[in-house]
Amino acid sequence: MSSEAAEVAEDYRLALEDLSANTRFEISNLTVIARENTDHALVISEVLEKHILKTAPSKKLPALYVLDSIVKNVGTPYTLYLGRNIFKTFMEAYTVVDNATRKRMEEMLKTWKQPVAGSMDTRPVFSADLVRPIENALAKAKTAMMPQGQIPGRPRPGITPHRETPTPPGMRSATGTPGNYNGQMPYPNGAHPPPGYPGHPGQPQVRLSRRPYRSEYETNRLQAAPYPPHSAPQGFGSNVMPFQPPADAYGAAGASQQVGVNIETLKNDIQNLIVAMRAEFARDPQDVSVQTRLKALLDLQHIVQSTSLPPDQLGLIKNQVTELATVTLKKATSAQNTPSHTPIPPQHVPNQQSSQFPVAPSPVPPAPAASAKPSVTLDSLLGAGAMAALMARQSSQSSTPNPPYSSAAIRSPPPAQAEPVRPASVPIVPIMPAPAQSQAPKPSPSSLMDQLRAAGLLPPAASPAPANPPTPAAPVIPLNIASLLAAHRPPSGWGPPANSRPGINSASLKQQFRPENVSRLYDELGPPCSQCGRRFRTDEEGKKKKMAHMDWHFQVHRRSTEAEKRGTHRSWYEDKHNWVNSREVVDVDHIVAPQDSSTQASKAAAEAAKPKYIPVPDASKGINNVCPICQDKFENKWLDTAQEWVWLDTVLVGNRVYHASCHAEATKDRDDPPPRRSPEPILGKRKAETGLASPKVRSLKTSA
Amino acid sequence: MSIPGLGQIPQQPETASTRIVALRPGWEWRFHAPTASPLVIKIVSGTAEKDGVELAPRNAYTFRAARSRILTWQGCEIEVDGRTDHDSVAPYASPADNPANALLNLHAQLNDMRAAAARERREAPRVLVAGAASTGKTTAVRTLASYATRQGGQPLVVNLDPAEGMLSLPGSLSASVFATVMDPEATDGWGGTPTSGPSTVPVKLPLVYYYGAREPEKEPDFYRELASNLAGSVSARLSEDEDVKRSGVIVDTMGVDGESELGVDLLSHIIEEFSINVVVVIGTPLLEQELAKRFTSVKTSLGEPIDIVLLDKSDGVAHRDQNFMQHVREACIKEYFFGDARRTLSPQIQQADFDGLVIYRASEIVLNGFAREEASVEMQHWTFAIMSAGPRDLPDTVRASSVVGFVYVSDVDEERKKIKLLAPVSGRLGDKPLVWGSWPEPFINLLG
Repeated sequence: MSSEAAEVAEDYRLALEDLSANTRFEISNLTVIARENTDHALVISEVLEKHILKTAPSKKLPALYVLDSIVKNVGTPYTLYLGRNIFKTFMEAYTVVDNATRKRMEEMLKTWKQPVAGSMDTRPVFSADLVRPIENALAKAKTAMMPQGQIPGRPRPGITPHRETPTPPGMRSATGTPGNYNGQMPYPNGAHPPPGYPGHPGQPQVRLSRRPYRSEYETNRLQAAPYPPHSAPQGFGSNVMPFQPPADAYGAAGASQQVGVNIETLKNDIQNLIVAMRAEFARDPQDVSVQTRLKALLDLQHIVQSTSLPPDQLGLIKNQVTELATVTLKKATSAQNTPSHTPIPPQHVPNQQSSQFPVAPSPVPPAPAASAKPSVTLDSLLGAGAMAALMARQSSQSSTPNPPYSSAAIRSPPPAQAEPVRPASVPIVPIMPAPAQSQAPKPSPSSLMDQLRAAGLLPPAASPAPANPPTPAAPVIPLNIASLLAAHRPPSGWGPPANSRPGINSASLKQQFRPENVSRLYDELGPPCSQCGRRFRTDEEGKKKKMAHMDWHFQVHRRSTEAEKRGTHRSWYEDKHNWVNSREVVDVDHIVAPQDSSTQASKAAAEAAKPKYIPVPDASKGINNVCPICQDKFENKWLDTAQEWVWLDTVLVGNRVYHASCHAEATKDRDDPPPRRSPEPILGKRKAETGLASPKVRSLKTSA
Repeated sequence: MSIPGLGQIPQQPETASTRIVALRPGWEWRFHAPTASPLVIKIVSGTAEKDGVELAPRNAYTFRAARSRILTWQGCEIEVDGRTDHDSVAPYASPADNPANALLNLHAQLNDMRAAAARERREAPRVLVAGAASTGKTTAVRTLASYATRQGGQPLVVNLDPAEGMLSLPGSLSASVFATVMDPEATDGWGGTPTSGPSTVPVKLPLVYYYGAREPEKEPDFYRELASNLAGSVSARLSEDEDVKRSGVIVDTMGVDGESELGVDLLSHIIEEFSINVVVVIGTPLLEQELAKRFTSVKTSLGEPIDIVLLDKSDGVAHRDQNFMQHVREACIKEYFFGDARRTLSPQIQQADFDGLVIYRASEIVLNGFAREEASVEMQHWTFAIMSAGPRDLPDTVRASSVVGFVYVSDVDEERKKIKLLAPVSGRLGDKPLVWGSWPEPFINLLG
């Protein structure tokens, strides 16, 4: 290879390394260089192949586009050279890139089977016997990836502008039909997404991935600002618009219902309302009514987003939302007044709010005993009539999509239903409000769910709900009884009562919050350790444990400073045998923990734990006072435990004294034949390991 | 409801200064800690937990490149210092509305089962958490394990999701007993493994197998084999370790949405192998139905019925894009070799001859899936698993043996036939076989 070729190769390699995005300019530039250096096509091809193999997955695609561009625009020598390894080049890259990139690669592969667009040559870019093996391998890989691979493709815009294709249009023959070409060569434009070009939803290309989130966030912020002007022109009077009687609400809905209410607008409106509500909430976080309204709104939003409601319902909701918007913004307290106008459905008794927060040492002042404030539900929010009307509509509608969580909701609790209600005999759990009526002590959103269920949105309440009066409690009762009974179980719940089989009672998992479960994880365990949060009881045993624990912390801190000087490294993992036989030892320093299972290791550990020293020898004995290996002088130290002057870290071998670590290191290779490379047991051996192997120990010795 | 930005009304975007976030019981503070700068939080008052790990009062916890939440059951005030990419307060009307409440209740029931099992000298529950991708499975496993540990238990946690590692690198399957508090600041969210030095949070001891690909569906047979291997070790540990036996097993799994027959098959295999008797499905009703179809009338090998529970997905599950996930994976590799901000490790670069190494390639490119491979320049930047098998063992034995550690290929010189490896421990690597998988992907800038 001539030096010139090497130079070209090196230049090309450097240029490739700078290529990190699908920029048309760079790709075309690299193509031009390749065309001008066809003399060196072989080395350039090699460099390119190597680069594609070696480079980071995120940079593979641009490099592949260079390859693609070269074979299409320059052609022959390159097609030959690059074709030889195309399977390997392609597949190696394909395995490591993300799904979005794979898609691009597949699209690129497709174009290779066809003639170069606009070219007179009718032969494909690469011959079929080169492309086919790749396709076969991909087909195999695809079957494995199918589940997540099936994202409905967004139709490719036929008029993709040129700038999206890294292969510069100028490089192509002038007779090329751009539309056709672009259809074949849908390059992604990861680097420069044109506006309004959303990218694949399910497979975010690396660069695009942040966009949706950001823009959504920004939109939210934008929406928050212009809100008041938006609501003002709605034309609703500033006066509290009393919630309309059901019929009116219904009529209004029918009248104002445009064909196909824009669900996006509705979502936006709800969102705006939530934003406003939040602002209000921020002003007065103690206001329970605001909080509950907010919750109801969030639920409504969730329903709207997760369910495809029929248009007429959307219209209804929309009307009420707009109305509510005016009301909320003009007069924040209106919602509290309204319930007086409306018959409150029996299940929404006030005063649940106080039960929501356990009496616990909380820095936040507890919610005001919400005696006067009714719990706001969608009903009181939008007017009872609205809900009823909605239900009336509903009951006549047979095919309504179920909300996604319906199955979860329905699942709740038939077993309890069979039992008669026996609240009187059961001790009442302190957090529950007195169960005078059979009402679920549930927060408003669930009652919203109840209503939807009653309305026929959810399967169990198939019975048509009467149109005008607010929801009768009847269809809702099974759930309420269930949750009531669940709530009245003794605190430790389902535990070991004789009749229940051991297992999980899934019905009671979601329905209530039981502060005793919390306190078992917190207060009952005693006060927390100030350093790691682990809790210790205040009884004798707990105190002992805490002592050991604080000792452990102390030890670790002390040794951390030592370890910093010495340098530490990751230990090998345990093999299966050692792992099975290892035992967790809490609050014992792992390093000196003897390991009962492996006698060899524990011996080593014991040995390592024992300080190696010899008493300072009598000078008359003529024993060396310099280590023969490292030539450091031994230092006299007073060892308290031995009550004598010693040389630390030394061994006496024959008549010569060595540093223990020097000696061990020097003899290690002899004692320790290379085949013995099994992972060293971690628990016992670690100190020995560093003591023997770490070269830094030696330098420490002189200073010690 | 999980609209980003919802909770940001009172908060300015340029939140660089220290601020206090007050939470009421059952609320949570969700945050995205940036990769560039640290986010430091302190619990000023009240109690709070992250993935079930209680945060010590007035202790500074530092987070980098994390998307998580701080949850309080008793109310708390958090002092936040540093910039966040995004944060919000999730105000639930009552603690019962927080989906995390179901986990709390589930834990209480599991604990009762543990107590009953101990009384009757039976096996403690073996729990499996399943669900589609990004539904909060790992968070649920961590929470359940952490709750058990806090009450003095020693649950055995098994990770069977090769996409992310537990106490190990991505691509591996691992098991470990959690007798001590988890490390809320850990890069992988679990904790650290032993080093030659001390650790301020007790280290965990994992048993690691290397699967070497991202999706279990890629090599289902081998995946089954490894799962069975791991199940064997786990049951051996259970039968010998009383403390662990009393606490049972919690298994984390790969994302399975219920539509893929193979995925459900693999889950069923795991359920059988680990004698799972409590299956928790999160936010994936379809999967719950599929599993219920198969297991409602089936009993475990110990004769217990199998309970299948469907829990709601938390609306706060953070969207983790590919970029972020890659960053986390790379951070795990980096942490393995170099440690983290609290614990600096010193790995060693060592040079080896091509001939001195036994390297196997596990990849769908290789014809039969697993074969010896000559060292080549393509290996650069990949991370290999060091297997505990011997150099002359059969390929299948090598592949199914446990992992001793990992090396990173920093440079390959094809002309001089030399390869430079970054190893965690100094000293020769020996002739342990190395396995080159397709996951984790190469990490270009580990040494850069």
